[in-house]
Formats: sequence, C-alpha cells, structure tokens
Amino acid sequence: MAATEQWPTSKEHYELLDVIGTGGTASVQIALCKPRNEKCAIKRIDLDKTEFSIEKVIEEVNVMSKFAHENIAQYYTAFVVKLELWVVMRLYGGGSVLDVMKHILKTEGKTGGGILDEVTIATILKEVLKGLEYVHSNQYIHRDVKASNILLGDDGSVVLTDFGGSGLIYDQSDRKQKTRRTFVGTPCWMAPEVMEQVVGYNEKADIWSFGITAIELAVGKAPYHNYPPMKILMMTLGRDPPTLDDCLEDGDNAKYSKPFKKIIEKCLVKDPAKRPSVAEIKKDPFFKKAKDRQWIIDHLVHKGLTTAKRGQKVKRVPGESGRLHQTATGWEWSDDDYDDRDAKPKPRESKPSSEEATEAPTGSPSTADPGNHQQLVITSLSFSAQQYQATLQEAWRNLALLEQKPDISTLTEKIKEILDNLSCELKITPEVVQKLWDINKSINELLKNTDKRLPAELLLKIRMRNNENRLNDICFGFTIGMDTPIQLAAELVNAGHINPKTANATSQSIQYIIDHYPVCKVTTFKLSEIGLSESEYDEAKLIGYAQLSAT
Amino acid sequence: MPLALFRSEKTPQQLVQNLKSVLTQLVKEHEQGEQANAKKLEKINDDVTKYLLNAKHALMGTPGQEPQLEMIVQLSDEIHKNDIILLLIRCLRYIDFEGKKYTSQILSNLLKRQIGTRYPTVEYILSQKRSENETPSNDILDELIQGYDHQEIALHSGLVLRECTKHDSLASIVLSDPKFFAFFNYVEVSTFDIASDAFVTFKDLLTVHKNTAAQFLEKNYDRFFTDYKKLLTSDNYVTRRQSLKLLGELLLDRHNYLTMDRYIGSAENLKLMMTMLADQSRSIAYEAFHVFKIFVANPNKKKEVLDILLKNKEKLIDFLSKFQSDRKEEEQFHEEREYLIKQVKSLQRPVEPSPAAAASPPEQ
Repeated sequence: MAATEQWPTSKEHYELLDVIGTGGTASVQIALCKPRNEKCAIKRIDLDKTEFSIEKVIEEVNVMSKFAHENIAQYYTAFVVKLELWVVMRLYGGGSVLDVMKHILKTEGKTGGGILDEVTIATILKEVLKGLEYVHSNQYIHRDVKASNILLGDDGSVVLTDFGGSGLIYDQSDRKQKTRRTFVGTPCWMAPEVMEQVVGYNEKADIWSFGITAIELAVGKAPYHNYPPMKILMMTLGRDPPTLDDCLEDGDNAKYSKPFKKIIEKCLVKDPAKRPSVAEIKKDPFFKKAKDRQWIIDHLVHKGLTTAKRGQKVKRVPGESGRLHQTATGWEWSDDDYDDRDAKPKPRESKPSSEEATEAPTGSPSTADPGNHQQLVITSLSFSAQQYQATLQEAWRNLALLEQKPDISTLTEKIKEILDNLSCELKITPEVVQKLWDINKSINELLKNTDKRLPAELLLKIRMRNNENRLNDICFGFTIGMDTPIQLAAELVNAGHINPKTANATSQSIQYIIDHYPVCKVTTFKLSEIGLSESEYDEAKLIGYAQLSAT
Repeated sequence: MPLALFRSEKTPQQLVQNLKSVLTQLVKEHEQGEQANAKKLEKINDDVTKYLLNAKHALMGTPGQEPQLEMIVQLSDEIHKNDIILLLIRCLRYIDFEGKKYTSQILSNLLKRQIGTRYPTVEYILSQKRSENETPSNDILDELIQGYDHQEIALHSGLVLRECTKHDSLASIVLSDPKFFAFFNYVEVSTFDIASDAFVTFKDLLTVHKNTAAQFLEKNYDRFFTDYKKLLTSDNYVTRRQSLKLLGELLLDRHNYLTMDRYIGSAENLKLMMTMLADQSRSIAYEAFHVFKIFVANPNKKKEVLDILLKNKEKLIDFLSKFQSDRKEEEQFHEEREYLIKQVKSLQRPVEPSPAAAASPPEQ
C-alpha cells in the first residue's frame, strides 16, 4: 500500500470546501488538493485550546500513519497551520453510518427500530470486523467502535475511523501482553471491564463495543442511550447484558433472525475471556449474508446525505488571522526602546484581544449527539472521575450486601435513592464527591454492625418557630425499644411544645429518622393548618416548617 | 494467523541466508532504476516481507504461541554474524508497508533482548564503530538518524533509534555525532508525524541519560542554544510550543545546573522569554511563564538581567497579576504566580558602595 505517495504539507495546496462535521476542538472539512486535483477530508484540530495535550494528538496521528487497510480510514499526511493541526485523510463521501441511519429515519418517516435490514447490517459488520482484525493484529485496540465511527466511501467501502482513543495493547516489540487501564470510549458502547478498571482490559473490549454497535444498527440507538453517563455505567455493570429483543418493539423484533441475535449475545458476554475473538466471529455463518460494495452503494450511500448536500460553507477560514506574527511587545529592553516607545506610543493589552479568532468555525451542523455521545464528560475529568466512579461502584456493591438484611429495608431503599441520584450526576463537584464519600462511609458502618445501628438512646431536636416567631429548639431523648414515635409526639403535645395539629407529622418524622439513621440525621416537615397562607411557607427559613435532627 | 514458520527454511541460519539474499537482490533491482523489472521486484518484495514475518514470529512468537528461547538466541547470533542490521536499515525504504513495520519490530526486539546484564545487540552495534576515523561515529546509528530524511521510513527508523538511545553508550555516540545537529531541522519538517517523532527522539537524547546530556549541553552550549533559539522562534506553532516546554524541563533539571546558570544570566534570553510570555497563544505564554520564573527566582541575577526586570517592574507586576488568572485547579501555578509578583515587587538595585564611602575608612 502506498500510504506515502506524497501529499503536500502546506495549506496553499488545499482549497477548503464544505464543513462536514464539528466537535469541541476539531472540525472536519472537505478540501481539494490542488496539485493532485483530488478531494480529501481535512480534520482540523485546534491545538491551542487550554490543557490540550499535543502528545495525545501526536499519538493519534502516529497510529493512523501506521495503518494501511481497506477497512481503516486512510491517512495521508498532517501538518501545522498557525495554531491548528490539519490531518489530511481520504474523503468518505457517504458519511458515517449513524448519519445515514438518521437520514433514513427522517426521510422515510420511521420512528426507530428496524432501520437497517439484516443483509445491510451483515455487510457493514463484516467489513468492520476486517478492519478490527487488522487493528488487533497491529496490537492496537480501537476503543471507540460505534456507528458514528464507521464511514462509508462513495465506492461502497466501509471503514473504521477515529483513532483518538486507540491504545497499544502490546509493546510493539516484545509482545509481553500489556493490559490497558485508561478510561476511554463512549459509555453506551463501553465494555464492563473498561468501566471497572480493576483488571485492565485488552482487545476484547472492542468485541463488546462491536456487539453494542450491532444493536445500534438495528435499533438506531445504543441501549441505555437516553441515560446520563454514570447511570449507563451502573446499568452496564449491574444488569444482564442488553439483548436485541430488549431494545426493540415487538413488531420490529420479527425483522431479525436468530443467528443475528445470537451473534450479539456472544459478543455481549461480561467476562472478556469468554467473548470470541474477531477471527472467531468472522467465521459465523451469519456473515454469509453479507453482500458487496455495490450493495452498500445502493442501500446506504445513495440513501444517505451525500457530502455535497450535507455541507455548509465555512464562514471563516482560521489560520488566516495572522495571530502568530506578532513582533512588537510592550516590554522595554533598553533606554533606546523606551525613547522609541515614547515617540509613538503603542498601547497594548496584555491579554489576547482577538478572542473570536480562537473559536472553531461556528454554525456548522453538529454531528455530535447530546446525551449518550458525551465522551468528554467523563474522560476529561480523568483522575477524580475515576475515583468517583470507583467509590460509586464500591457503594453499589456494598448496598447489595445490605439488601440481604431485611430489617433495614427502608434504610437500604433510601441509600439506593441517594446512590441513584449520585450515579446520574453529570457534573462532579466537590459537594457531590463529599456526599458520595459520606454515604459510602455510612454503608460501611452499617455493614460492620447493622444491629448496633442505633444507639440505646437517640437524642433528638426539633427546631421550629415559637409564638414570637423566634427559632426555638426542643430537645428530647428517644429510648430504643421503649419509646414509640406516636407516644413521644403525644407527650410533646401534652407538654405544650407542639401544636396538636402537627403531632402526626412530628411522629412520622421521628419514625423517618429512626428508620434512616445514620444515613439521614436531619429532616424537615411541614406544619399544616397553623394559619399560614401557602405563599408564606418557606422551608429554608423554617417558616411553617420544623426541622428534626438526631445528634 | 497460522504459524508458517520455516516452511521454506529449516534453520535460523537458513532464514538469515534467505533474508540476506533477497535483501541484496532488492537493492540491486532498485539500483537499476527505470530498467527494474516490475514483476521481478514484486516477487522479491513478497519474499522479503515473508522472511521478515518469519523472523518476527521466531523472535516474538504468535498469538497463543510463545517464542522458543533457543530459536531467539540462534537467530540473533546469525543476524549479528551476517551484519543483517545495517543491511536491513539500508534497505528499509525499499521494503513494503507491512514489511517496514516488521523490520522496526524485529530490530527493537533485538535491542531489548537481555542476557543477564548484557544486551547482545547493543554490544554488537557498539562493536561497529568506524575504525578509519577518530570521531566515535557509527554506521548503524548514522543510518538511523538519516532515516528522518526520508518520509517513507522516518517513523520506522525513528522507533529503532529511540530503542538504541535508551542505552547510555549508544546515546552518547549519537550526541557526539555532528549529525546530531540535523535534529534541529528534523523537528521542524513540515510533515507533522515525522517532526513530532524526531522531537521525541531529540527530547529523549537530552533528558534520559542525565549526566551524558548535561555534559553535552555544557560542552556544546553556544552552538546548541544558537540553534535552539531558532526552534523557539519558529513559525511552526508545535515546534515553538514543544521546544519551549523542553527548555523549561532542561533548565529545571538539577543535572543541568551549569547550563541553567549560564542561560539565565543572559539578557537576550530573558527578552526572548518575556516576548513569549506576552504571546497571544495561551499555551505558549503558559510554557514561557515556567521558564521566565527561573530568571526572576535567581538570587544572583546578572546586572543586565536585573536592569531589564527593573525597567519593566511596574508593567510586570500588572501583567503577572492578570496573567491567566482564570486557570482552574492549578494551585501550584497560582502560588508560583503570587511568588513571582512578590519577587518582582521586592526587586531593587543593589546598594552599590558609593565612591565616597569606599574611599573613606569605616568610622571607628
């Protein structure tokens, strides 16, 4: 393969045409390579985005330049233009399989489910397998196999793209198998062992993603696609592997054969060791259905949006701004400079003034989905996200142990609710982390001594406003095994501490604290029928509310 | 892939002989230029790749099959005995795409092979010192360095060269080779992957073997930093950013104390850093900050350096207090920034003994 047929490495030789995709720090644009009179795709990566690691970009380009295969997006060359890296690649005019599916959905008015027929799916997947086999034989893992990373050429070729997350499994030369421990991929398609980060993972992680992609091609979406990333992790780890039947409506179910469902099942086995290798899957009779490139052209490329229709003119051509050619500075080197500056003062700001020049071209059609495509949410948090996730998993595991103790079922329900919320957190703030740490600690304490969960006497405190509208604390003890909430509430009424009308709410709150101690030590409850209008109630200020806490 | 090992050759000797013969043919065929027989060439190429794959499997095993130790020993001995390494590197550009990858994997594997504390292939390369001239040049290393001149082989020879320079003995030969200075061009070639690969090698050479590198920098200070300035002021954004970052690492490494001392004594260098500090690229300015801070923190500032800092004192305080103050989760950066502001604020001209005071004897 001649991957090195010279492609020019300066921007004058390329004429930029339509933008066909944008992401956070990169956009993809069609370009005409003038000396070759050939179209290509240029991925333009903004290198100056803060914390952008050049090393990572280098690794991606390096991987691509080592691959030459009919099922891998062909890399031509890469070069620096001002603050951007331009990666020149072959143009795959059919767009991504995801784009095509979306387009079919839109134009044919389908509502999802059974978008692609089985023959087409088999044809795509067979090509993907050939690409994956090549990647694996080069000791790499792709780590982000999904429909949006499968591109279609105008000639019906099917290729894998986006090696941004790919990693080397083995050291190239000594074949000592390394397993990876980095957290890369997109949650919906991510294999359980990649999420777990306990034992590391190998090329079998791609097989899982391949199975999820197979479901995606039939359904139009990956399983769990509408959940937030953390929740997806929890569901993938905690539930049985998804099946095609789970993801389809009954009517669409019948469209797909047993062998197809079987293949998905084989790939989606949680234990990576029990998952087949690419070579093994390839032998499956299911792929006898696969057709040739002409089929892809007739059934997908012509149906999809061609790049011509998809594109949008770029509004600004970055790299033209000349920002790098700055000569004058505001510093003074010598007295001469000083005089010179005095003569013709050049006020200069210390901060970049042309902020807009750093922005990627705007207004382009976004190919990135919200929700299930948000790879960045997790990976960019790197260390803390991993820690968070590990703690969360620990909490869930311990909760499963707690669930075996029936006498504290109300408590475990409460913990579950808290964990569910924490699992859905998109933004991991220090407060959220603190919450998780606390709950995890409580679970651990409970596990250690469930029966000693409550002290012999619980000291309780009700904080509420008295008749003069001042905050007042009422303290009392609750002896476990002797007192009951109803009885205690009655005593409080008798002593004139609380209004009889609020006795019920008070006793319910006491019960709540007893059931949920030590996970919940504070609760507030509403005091009804005390002559306040609805708008006057304010929980934060404890107007019309009382707070019960255990100390 | 099924193990097709030694179907055509019974022994490691045979394999190496076969490989040598097809490689020689390959070179011959290519020397004919236009007259080369395309069909014949294709056949030779297929053979080369086939033998390379066999050698790779013998050395590294195949999925599910570990290599045999005896085979490894014999094969590497044969490769050394027949001077296959140099031949392979010289032929690299003629070998096909997959074959090039096999070649670099084979060579890297050989270089990594260890018997006790000895590295047979490293010793073999060391023994290849050119005898006819005084400088400690080495044909194999020379060829590998020059691999960066050829786009189609640069990444493969680069990989092998980096494997070589993991060894102090080979790294010092490369550093003392005048060809080392060609790296200043290689790291700036327009093809991004080659330039960045060359930069990794360049960086390894200057940072992995601390003592060797420190000596090199002291000895070649003038030439090195004259050339280095060209990288720092390059038109290529990546070159500027990477070289600036490396400069910071070099200067802050205690092995390079003498080099640092000299570097931060120069007003020219300070000016360069201050210019970069005000660069419109946020990342470049940030890297420049990490070099600039060394100038300010230096307790024994040269007069010419101090002069510039004093002249810009107010501006610097103002500039630094606004400098990338929006950086999040970088406590250390903000601490350093605060520290620098304090340092700059306290800058003052040293109290020079006034002529009068110097002339008259101290009272009492």
